Amino acid sequence: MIKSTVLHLLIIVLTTVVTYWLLPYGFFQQDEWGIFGNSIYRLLTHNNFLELIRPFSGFTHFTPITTIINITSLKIFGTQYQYYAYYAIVNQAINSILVYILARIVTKNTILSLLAGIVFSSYAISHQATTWLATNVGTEGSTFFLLLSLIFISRYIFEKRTMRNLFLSFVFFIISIGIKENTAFVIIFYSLVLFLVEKKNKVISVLKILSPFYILIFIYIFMRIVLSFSAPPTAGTEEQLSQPSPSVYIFRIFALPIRAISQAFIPEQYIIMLANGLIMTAYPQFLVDKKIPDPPIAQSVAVDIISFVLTVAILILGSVFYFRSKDKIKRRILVFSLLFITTSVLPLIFIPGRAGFFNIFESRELYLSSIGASITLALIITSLSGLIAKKISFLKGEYVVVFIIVAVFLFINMKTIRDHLHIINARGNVRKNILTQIINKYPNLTQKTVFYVESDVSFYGLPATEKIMPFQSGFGQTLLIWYFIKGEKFPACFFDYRYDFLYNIYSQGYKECEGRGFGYFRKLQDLKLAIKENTLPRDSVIGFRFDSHTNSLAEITNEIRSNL
Amino acid sequence: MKIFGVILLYVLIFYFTFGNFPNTFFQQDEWIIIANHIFWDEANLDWLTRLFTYGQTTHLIPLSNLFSYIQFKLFDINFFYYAITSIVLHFVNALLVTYLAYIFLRKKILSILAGVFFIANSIPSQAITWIATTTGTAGSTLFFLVSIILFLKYLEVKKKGKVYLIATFIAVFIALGFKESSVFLFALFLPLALLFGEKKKVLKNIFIFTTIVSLLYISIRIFFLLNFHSISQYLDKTYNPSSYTYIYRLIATPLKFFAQSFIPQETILNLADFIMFKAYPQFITLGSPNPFIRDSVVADLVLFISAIVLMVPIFHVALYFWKVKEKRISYVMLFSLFSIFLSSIPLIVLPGKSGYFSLIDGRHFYISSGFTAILYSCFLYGIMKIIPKKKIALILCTGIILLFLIYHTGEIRGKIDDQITIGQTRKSILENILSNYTSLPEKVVFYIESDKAYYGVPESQKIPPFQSGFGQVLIAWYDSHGQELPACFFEQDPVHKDAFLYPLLTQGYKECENKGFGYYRNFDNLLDGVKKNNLSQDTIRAFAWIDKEKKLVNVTKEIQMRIKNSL
Repeated sequence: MIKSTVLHLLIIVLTTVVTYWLLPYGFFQQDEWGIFGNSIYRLLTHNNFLELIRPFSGFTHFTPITTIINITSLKIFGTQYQYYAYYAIVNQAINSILVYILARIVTKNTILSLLAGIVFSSYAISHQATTWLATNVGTEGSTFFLLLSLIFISRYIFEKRTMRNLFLSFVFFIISIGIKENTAFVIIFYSLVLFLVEKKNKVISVLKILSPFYILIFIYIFMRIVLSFSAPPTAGTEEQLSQPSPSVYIFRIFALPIRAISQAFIPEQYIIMLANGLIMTAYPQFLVDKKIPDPPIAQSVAVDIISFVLTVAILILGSVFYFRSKDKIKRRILVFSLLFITTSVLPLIFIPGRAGFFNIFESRELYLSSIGASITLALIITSLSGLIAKKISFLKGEYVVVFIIVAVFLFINMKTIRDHLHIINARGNVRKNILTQIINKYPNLTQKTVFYVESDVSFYGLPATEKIMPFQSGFGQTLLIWYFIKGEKFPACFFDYRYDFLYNIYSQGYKECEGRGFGYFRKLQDLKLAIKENTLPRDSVIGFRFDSHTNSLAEITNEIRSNL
Repeated sequence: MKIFGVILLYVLIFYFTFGNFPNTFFQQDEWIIIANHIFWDEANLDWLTRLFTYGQTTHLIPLSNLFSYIQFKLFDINFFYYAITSIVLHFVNALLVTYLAYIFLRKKILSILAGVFFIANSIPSQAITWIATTTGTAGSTLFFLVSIILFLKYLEVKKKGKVYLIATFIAVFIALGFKESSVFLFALFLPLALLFGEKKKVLKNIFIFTTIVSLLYISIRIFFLLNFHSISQYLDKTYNPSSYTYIYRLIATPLKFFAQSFIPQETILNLADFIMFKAYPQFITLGSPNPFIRDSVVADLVLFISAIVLMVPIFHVALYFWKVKEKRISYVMLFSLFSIFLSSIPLIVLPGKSGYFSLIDGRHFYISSGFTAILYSCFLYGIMKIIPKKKIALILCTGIILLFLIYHTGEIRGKIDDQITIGQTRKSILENILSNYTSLPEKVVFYIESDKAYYGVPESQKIPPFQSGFGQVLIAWYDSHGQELPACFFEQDPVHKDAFLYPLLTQGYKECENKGFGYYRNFDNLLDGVKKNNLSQDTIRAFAWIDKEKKLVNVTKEIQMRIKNSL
C-alpha cells in the first residue's frame, strides 16, 4: 500500500517536472516588475510588520501572506528567474499530490485518484498559474491551502466526523484567503456539498457544522469594508475600477458558471476556433473583408454561444452518466466536481471595470476549476476504459486502455505547455539579453540618469506610431528595478505605487526625488524636451537602439548626446 | 349542445381578439396580388400560367393563387370580406386543432383548451392579420390538419383503411398546393404510425406510400424549378451558404424556431437588450444596444438558452406521464415537440440573405401552432397531475390560462389597433385622391410629396405612409374603381418579379397601349420625367402629405405652375 502510494506520488512529481521542464529557462514577463516595485517600496518605507502587510488600497486585494512571500522571495532570490520557476514547479507538484489525496478521499479509488493527480499536474488549460510567475504565489499558494482545507473537510464529510478535521479545514481555509481571496468561494461549495450529503434537518446541520466558516466570512467582509474606508484609494483609471450595477453581478452569477463548465474542459483556442467558425457559418455580415470574423464579436457573443452550447452538451452527457450509473460514488464524484467547477469561478463576478466583462477565462483563473475538471476527466477516463476494454478484446484489459488515453492526454497537454514555454522563453531571453547588455555597459549610474532606448517596431498590438521595447510593461520601470536589485541605491519615491512611475507600457518621463534623478524615453523629441525642461547635462543620457530583425541592441549614447 | 358551447366559447374569444380586424386595411403584398389578378384577366392568361408559373419565384402554390383569385373576384378591394375570410379560416383551423387534440389526448377539456390556446396565441397571429399571407398559410394549415386527422383515422379503423390513406395524401397535396411549408408532413406519418399505430405491415405500407408521394412532389418541384422558376435574384456572393452552413442550420433553426414558438419576439428582444447591457457594454452606443448585433448573434444566444430552458419542463412532464403509464400523453408531447422542430425545416433552405435570419416572422409559426397549443394543454395537465394538492394545481393552471389569454389577446388587439390607425390613414389618402379626381385623363402623372420617411427608409427619401410603392397602389386602386387601365401597367418584371412602381422607393412614368401613368414624390424627378416624356403640366395631379396633421392637401395647381415655370 505504502509502496504503491510512493510510486503514485513519484509518477505525479515526474509528470509535473517533465511538463514544466522548460520553465526555468525563461524570464519575467509583465506584472512581476510591478510586484517587485511594490515589494521594494514596502521594504524601503515600512518599518514594522503590520505596515508591511497593510493593503496599498482599499478596494483591491488584501493578501498579507502573499505580500510576505513576495518580499521574502525578492530578498532571497532577487531577480534570479530560475529560483522562482523552481518554486512554481514544486508548488505545482505538491498541489497535484494534494489533488491525488483529495480524490482518494472522495472517490475511494486509487487509480482514479492517480489519474486525477496526473491530469492536474499537466493540465494545459490552467497552466498560466504555474508558467506566469507574477500570479504564481497567489494562485498556486492559495490553492495549496485550499486543497488542504478541502482534504480535511472531505475527511470530515466522507470519513470521520471529528472536530480535528473540521478545525484543520478551517485553519487552512483562513490561510488560503490570506494568500488570495478567490478561495472564499469554497464556503458556498462546502455548504452545497453538506446540504446534499446530510440526511436530516439539512439546513440546520449545514449551519451548525459550518458556523465557524460563516462567522469568519462575516468578520472578513467586515474587515474588508473597514479597510476600504481606511486604506488609501486604489490607483488606476475609472475604466479599470468602476463597479457595475447590482443586476450585472446577478447576471454574472449565472453566466460565469455556465462559461466555466465548458472552458474548464475545452481549451480556449478551440472555443475561439469554434466561435470564428460560427461567425463564418451563421453571420456573414460580421466578416471583415468578407473573410475574417470580426474579433470583437467573435470573441464575445460568439464565444458565449459556443460556451453555452458546450456546457449544455457536457451537462446532458453528465446527466446521462449520472442516471445510468449505479455506482453511488461515481455519481458523487460527478456532482462534487461539477459543483466545484461552477462555484470556484464565483469570486470573479467582482472583477471591477472593463476587465469584469470578459467572456473567456484567463488560464490562471481556471486553476481552481481544474481541480474539479481533473477529477471529472479521471472519472471519464476510467469509465470509458472499462467500456472500451469490454468492446475491443485485443486491448486486453482496462489498464491498457487507461494507459493509451492518458498517454494521448499527456502528449497533447505537455506539448501545448511546452510550445507555450518555447515562445515565452524565446521572448524572455531577448529581454534578459537587453537588460544584461545595458547593465554590463553601464554598471553604475550617475546621480541623474536618463535612458533613451529607441525601437524600430511596435509590439503587443500597439499603434504603429508607438514603437516600444519588447517588454510588456514600461521599460523605464523595468530598468529601475533591474538596477536597484543589482545594487543601485534608488530612493523609495521611484517605486511609489500611487504614481506607477514609468510602469505603463507607453510611459516615458523623468523624475527627481531625494537627490536622485531617473528618466526613460523612447522618442527623441520627448527626450529633448525633458532635457531642456529639467536642465539636464548631456552626459546624463545613455542611449541604445533596438533592432527587432536581429533582436540586438546597439549602443548609441554618443550619437544621442551629440544630437542634443 | 356541448359542441354548441365550445363554438360559443371560441366565438367569444374570437370576438375579443380579432373583433376589430375587419376595420383594418390592405398592408403591402396585397397590392401586388391584386395587380396580378387584374393582369390575369386583362392579359387573358391561360389557367396553367395563372396558377403555376406567373409571378412565381421559389413558390409553387396553385391552390393559394386560385383561392386568392376567387376572393378578388368576389370581394374586389373590399377589405372587410377578406378579413372575415381570414377569421373564418382561423376558426375552422381552431376546430380542427380541437378535434386533433381530442383524437390524440382523448380528453375533451384538454382538446378545448388546445383550441383556445390556438385561437388566442399572438405569436403566429400575423398569418391571420396580414391577409396577403392568410390564404397560403391558413389554407395550407387547414389541409395539413385534415391530413393528420385522416391519417390518425386510418391508423384507428380496421376496415376501409385505404380510403383514409388515399384521402390523407390528397389532403397533403392540397396543403402543399396552398403553401410548401407543410412539406414536413411527409416526415410525420411514419412517427405517427410508430407512436399511435400497431401493425408492422401498416408501417411498411406507409413507408412505401410516403416515399412514393414525396418523390413525386420533389420531381414536380424540380421540373418547375428547372423550366419556369428562378431563384437567381436571391443569390448574393456575400450570402452564399456553404454545406457547413446547412449543417449548422439543421441544428440551430429548429432550436430557434422552438423557442420563438413560445416566447414573443418583443420578449426576446428585451432579453437581448438586457444581456447586451449586462455582458457586452462594448456594443452599447449612446445608451442603445447596437441593433445589428442585438437582432442577430445576441438574439440567437437568447434563443438557444430559451430553447434549453423550455425543453427541461416539457421533458420532465413527458417523462412523468411515461412513468405513470399515461404513455399516450407522453407520446403526444414528444410528437408535438418533433413536429414543431420539423416545421422549421423549410426555413433552412431559404436562399441568399434571407436564410441568415435569427428572428422569425410570426406567420411561419402558424402551421405548427396547433402542436404548440397541444403542448400547452399537456403541460397544464401535467401540472394538475404532478402537484399533489389539487386546489393549488387548479389555481395555478387557471392562472396560467388567464395570463395567457390576457397577454396574447392584448397583444393581438394592440397590433390590430395599430393597423386600424395606419389602415384608416391609408384608406383616407386613397379616397381623398379618388374623390378629387374620379376619372383620369389618357396620360396622368401623380405627384405626392411627403414630409416624412417611413419604415426605416433614409431621411432623404420621404414617402407617403404606404409599405409598398404608392404608384402601384394608385394604379390598382383606380382600376378597381372603374378606371380602365391596360394590362401592361400590371405586368410583372420577368426578372425581378415586381410590378410597375411596386418597390417602395420607385418613381417613374410609363406609356403603353396609348395610356400613360406616372408617379413621383420628388420634384426634380417629376420635372425630369415631364421633360423626358414631353408631358404637359396638365397631366399632373399633385398632393402633399403632412404627417404631423395627418392631412392630404391638393397642391395640383401649385405644382403645375412650378413645372410650367421650370420648363
